[in-house]
Amino acid sequence: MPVLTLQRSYKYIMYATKQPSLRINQDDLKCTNGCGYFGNADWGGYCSKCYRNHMEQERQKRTRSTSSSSAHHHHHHSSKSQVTSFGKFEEKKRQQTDKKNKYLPVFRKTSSAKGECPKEDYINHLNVILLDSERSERQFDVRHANPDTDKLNVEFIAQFGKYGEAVRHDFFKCAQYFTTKIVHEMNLKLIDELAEMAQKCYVSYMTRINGNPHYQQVPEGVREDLLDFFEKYCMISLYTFLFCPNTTNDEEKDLTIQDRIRKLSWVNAHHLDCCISETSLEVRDLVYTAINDLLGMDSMKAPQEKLACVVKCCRSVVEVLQHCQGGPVSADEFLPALIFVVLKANPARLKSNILYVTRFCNDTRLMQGEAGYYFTNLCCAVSFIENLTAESLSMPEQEFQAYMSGEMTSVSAWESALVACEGMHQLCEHLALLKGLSERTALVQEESNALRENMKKLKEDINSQVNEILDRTPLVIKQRTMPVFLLRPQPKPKIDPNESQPKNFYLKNLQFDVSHTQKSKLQLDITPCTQDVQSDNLKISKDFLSPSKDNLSLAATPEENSYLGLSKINYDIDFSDISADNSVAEELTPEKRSNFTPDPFSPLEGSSCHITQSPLVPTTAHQIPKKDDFVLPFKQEGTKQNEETLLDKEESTSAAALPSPLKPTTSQYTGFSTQGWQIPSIPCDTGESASKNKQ
Amino acid sequence: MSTRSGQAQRPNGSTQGKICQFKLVLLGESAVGKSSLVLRFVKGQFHEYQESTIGAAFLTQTICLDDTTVKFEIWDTAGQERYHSLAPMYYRGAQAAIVVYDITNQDTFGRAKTWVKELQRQASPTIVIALAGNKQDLANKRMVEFEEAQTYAEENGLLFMETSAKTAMNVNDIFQAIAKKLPKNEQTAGQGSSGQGRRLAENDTGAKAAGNCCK
Repeated sequence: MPVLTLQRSYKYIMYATKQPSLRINQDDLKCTNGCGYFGNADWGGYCSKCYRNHMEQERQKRTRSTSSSSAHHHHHHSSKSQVTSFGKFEEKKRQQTDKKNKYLPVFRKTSSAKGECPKEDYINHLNVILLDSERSERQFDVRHANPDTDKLNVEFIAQFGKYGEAVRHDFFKCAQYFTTKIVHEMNLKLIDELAEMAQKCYVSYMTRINGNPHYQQVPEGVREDLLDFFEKYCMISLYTFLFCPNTTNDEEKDLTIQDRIRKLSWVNAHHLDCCISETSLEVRDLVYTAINDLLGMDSMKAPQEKLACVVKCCRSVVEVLQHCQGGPVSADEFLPALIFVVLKANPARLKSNILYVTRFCNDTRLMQGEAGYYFTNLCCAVSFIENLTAESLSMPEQEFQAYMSGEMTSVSAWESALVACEGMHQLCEHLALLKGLSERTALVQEESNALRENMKKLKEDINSQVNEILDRTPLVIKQRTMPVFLLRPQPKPKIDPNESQPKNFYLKNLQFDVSHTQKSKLQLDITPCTQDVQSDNLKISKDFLSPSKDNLSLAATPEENSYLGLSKINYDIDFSDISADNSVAEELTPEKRSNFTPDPFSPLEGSSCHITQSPLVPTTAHQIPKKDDFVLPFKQEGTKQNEETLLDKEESTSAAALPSPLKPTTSQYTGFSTQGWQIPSIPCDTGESASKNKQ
Repeated sequence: MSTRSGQAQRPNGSTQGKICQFKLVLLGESAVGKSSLVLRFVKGQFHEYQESTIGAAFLTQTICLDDTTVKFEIWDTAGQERYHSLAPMYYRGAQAAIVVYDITNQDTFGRAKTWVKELQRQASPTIVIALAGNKQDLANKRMVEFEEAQTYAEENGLLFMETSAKTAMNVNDIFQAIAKKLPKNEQTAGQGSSGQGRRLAENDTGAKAAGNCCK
């Protein structure tokens, strides 16, 4: 039975820490029954099992010989009936303390032991302690009565050690005197008298601090703390004797109020006119904090520590109210809220705690200060709960009774939450999880959308880039360059033989045209077609003819002619813009003409160069698609200028090369100029197609 | 001036300086402006939708009076009818009390009278009681005449002022007047109530609250 031995060794540890002042051998710790397990002084030296048996026997003995033995044994105590009733509720109490005080196993054990133990055993036990302490010729050493005292010693030295050994010595002397006195008196006096003693003791210690030369070093501010520590030290030492003592019916009161609160579990914030919104999750958390603070009171030993718990709880309540109503919290709201919290917390041994604090806490602290105020509120809350009636909840008596008897059950959010607490928690957790997930999915969706956009953009970019690149495709250019390439070398070797015939044909055509144009010169001026042609001619003449001016002074005659024509044309331009398109189309031809004119005409007589360019004129005139082909490559080179300019350039380069052949044939220029005027007539036919190309 | 400064203070310890600490209880029907009055006195502020985030149930404020410093520890009480029976637990050991009523509400004045009666019967015999007719700023809706309240106060030996937490009228004055009237031998005030209060606590929590709280 490893578990049992463990339990027993645990008891031994407790026992050892509790009573080390007695020099005990290990054998002395064993159960007096001789079963081999460790015994406990609280249980009359028995181990738990033997003690139970022993108690059983005792009880049977007592029931057999009733009056005589009880009179003998229990002369300290009021009556036997009290003892039996005591035992009865002790069982109940153990059930609830098992439930409530899991964090206090140490105390629970000792208290339950006290309960089971007949009073005389307990008193004998105390007497033994006192006798031992007397035998060892020193006062009852409080430090060994409680494991906390060691901690307190350390605390004292840390806090007040700097004020010298005298202070420490006197402090412990006084504390020991006080605690010993209380232990001595506690079986002879009522608890209220003990409380009176304690209060007197606090006052006398304070006067001692203020009067005794030992304490001169202690500054005035610290004296208060010293008194506080004195109270703390003594009360922790005496906690097991003074908290919920057997001489009182504190435990009964605890059970009564516990039962009462349990019956009032249907009371909700609404009944109390309290603005706590039970359904709010945040508020609920804060209320739980307040409840935890209140429950923590039972685990503290010193009255001031218990008070601190109450203050903490009340501050949490204030926080709750601030959260609910959002203003400074007055007592009108605070007290109902505190009642609500007490009802929902149902703290263990509430009454015992309140009575303990009331009796043994320094009165001045209870009467004044924040702690005093909040503790008063707690007392009020408890008092209200104890005396709660239908009237105080402002509800009909019948309804109140129905609730109390359990006929009616209120649909309280708080209760349902408590019942479904686990479910609620899970729900909340899941909701939180879902929320997180939905957030994440939203994020993912966003990101994916962004990605999609990016992809689209990328696609478009690539498309546009590809298009751009396609627009500038070198393939087309190459196709174009081929003819360009061909254009230059062609004239010399290839075209001569091939196009010899068309040359003749064109020449004939040109001649015809020239004859026509010469005839219709006046008409041309009038028709819009010529306007642009001439305007272009202007440019061309400026661009192209200017160099020719430089080079060729003899070319003045054609220039003059062209100027004359221009002046006329200018007027015409004003007339019609609509037909300009057509005329523009015509421009090409005249430009080419004008551009080519120097070429075709100079070569017309001599070189074959004319032949290459002369075919362009007819092709544009008669075959539109072919012209397009020619135009496109020019555009691709990125020049916004019309073909004319491009042509100009090309031709200008060619012209640069060409002038040399022109130079010698000055006489031909006259012919050129005449032809130049003749040529405009030709485009009239090609106008439409040319305009299309332009557009 | 913090609300928590009072926690460590004790009348016994503070006797060396010229600081007198007094416990002052606020009584009155709910919504007569008890907490507004105190907030105005302590924080010098008034918010109709009070936004400041402090508890107004327990506050301390120090005022200087001639050569002494008077520290008030102000305990607010719940004004609702249902908590009436708990009031003795609050005013036990108090050296001063302000009974507040709303001048626009005759009922609150009636309640104030019962408070005064109860204090005179059950509280410490040396307690200084002040009657405050609050919401003076709403004088056009007045339901309780100034003269009526003043004669009542004179008959019962009360300090009386009409106050307004909103306009701060007479707020500091009423506390000053109380401070002047209080006995400055604070040692008796502190100790005299202590023993008494402790016993009362036991009686009170022992279930019968109102009746036997002041022996």
